[in-house]
Amino acid sequence: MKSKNVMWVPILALVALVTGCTKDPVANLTEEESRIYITDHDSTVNFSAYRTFSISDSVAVINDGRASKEISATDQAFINAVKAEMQAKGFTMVSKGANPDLGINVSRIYNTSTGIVSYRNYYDMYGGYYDPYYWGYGGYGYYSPYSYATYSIREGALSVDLLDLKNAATSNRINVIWTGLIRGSGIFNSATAASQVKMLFDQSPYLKNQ
Amino acid sequence: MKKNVVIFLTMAVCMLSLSASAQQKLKMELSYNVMSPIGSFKNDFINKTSFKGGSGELSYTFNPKFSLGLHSGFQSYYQKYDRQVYKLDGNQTVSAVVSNTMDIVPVMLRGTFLPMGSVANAKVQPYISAGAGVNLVNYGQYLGEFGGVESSSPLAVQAGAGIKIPFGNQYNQTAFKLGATYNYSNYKRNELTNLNTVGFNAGVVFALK
Repeated sequence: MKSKNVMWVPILALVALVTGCTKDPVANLTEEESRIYITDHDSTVNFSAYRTFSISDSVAVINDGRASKEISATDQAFINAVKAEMQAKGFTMVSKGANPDLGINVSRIYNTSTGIVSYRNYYDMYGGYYDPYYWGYGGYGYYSPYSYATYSIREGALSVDLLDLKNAATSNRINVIWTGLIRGSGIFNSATAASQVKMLFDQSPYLKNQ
Repeated sequence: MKKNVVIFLTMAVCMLSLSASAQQKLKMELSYNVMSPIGSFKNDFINKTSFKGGSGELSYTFNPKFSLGLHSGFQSYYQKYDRQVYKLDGNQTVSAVVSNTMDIVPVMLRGTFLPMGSVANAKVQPYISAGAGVNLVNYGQYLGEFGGVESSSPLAVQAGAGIKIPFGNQYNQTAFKLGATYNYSNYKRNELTNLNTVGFNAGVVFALK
């Protein structure tokens, strides 16, 4: 009887050790370290063929399937950061009416569900909130071949999409030729907006007009 | 962590006091383990040595030279890599701080051979051991804060050698044990092709019955 009870002691001791020693890797990350920066692009596109761009003056906020357009100080910081990066890469900013080669949409995407989620569907929202007419191609649809289906959702994401307006008339749709997505903790912060956007452009060396 | 070690040691000491009578066949071993990944485990996943581990074994002594035991334990490996840019499928590129974790709980039958015999009067007794079973494995990979853990239970094989230093009473009922092990596990996931490790262990052996 005595020895039977004794046998449980080391087992309990081991369980205590296991639970005490296993590290939570996410708890060991700073906000900056928690963020991931994902970019994708159409590899057939030569970005040097595009000279001018225009950027939307507000941000599409896509919140659990409902979308609106907003412009907070943080949104403005992200828009300014994208402008600055594009200009640094040799592109010229023009007004939306001046027939830009590239259009840029910035979106905040919130999703409160957990698990594996595809972001592909957020383009459905473009039709309603970035009416292709806005870019001068009324009646066209958006087309994005990219999806981010492999990561689970913890909070909001920020996406930057480059739209091919130059060839929209010949391809009968607005192709998204480059997309960048920022995910993780503390994204929506105007103090770090510029450094976050820079990460997206820095890992896309092909994205330039030179 | 510190608190756990104190509990662990207290329990070990309590149990030592129970091991008084002679001719005891059933023995318990508790040890602290330090393990280093080698091969693909080291090169492709985690190259840091793990200082978070321990093991226990309940063994039956068949004769002075041979015992067979049920061996289990755990070892926790972790490594965080600085931010890097990784190419994914297609043209996708991701910049992330990658954290890799690996928790391994072996469950195996292990035989121990003492060439000098456990009743020998030697101050130091060499031993060799061999075990086989499964590893209960929790593989974790995180890109930033995104990721998760996947479990599996691959084959585990272990070979070990070391010394026992009897103390306290005669008949070699209690002893310090110092040793090293080589551990093979045929684990395959993503770039990983094995979970091989080498380890050092220090512990105590004492009789239960």
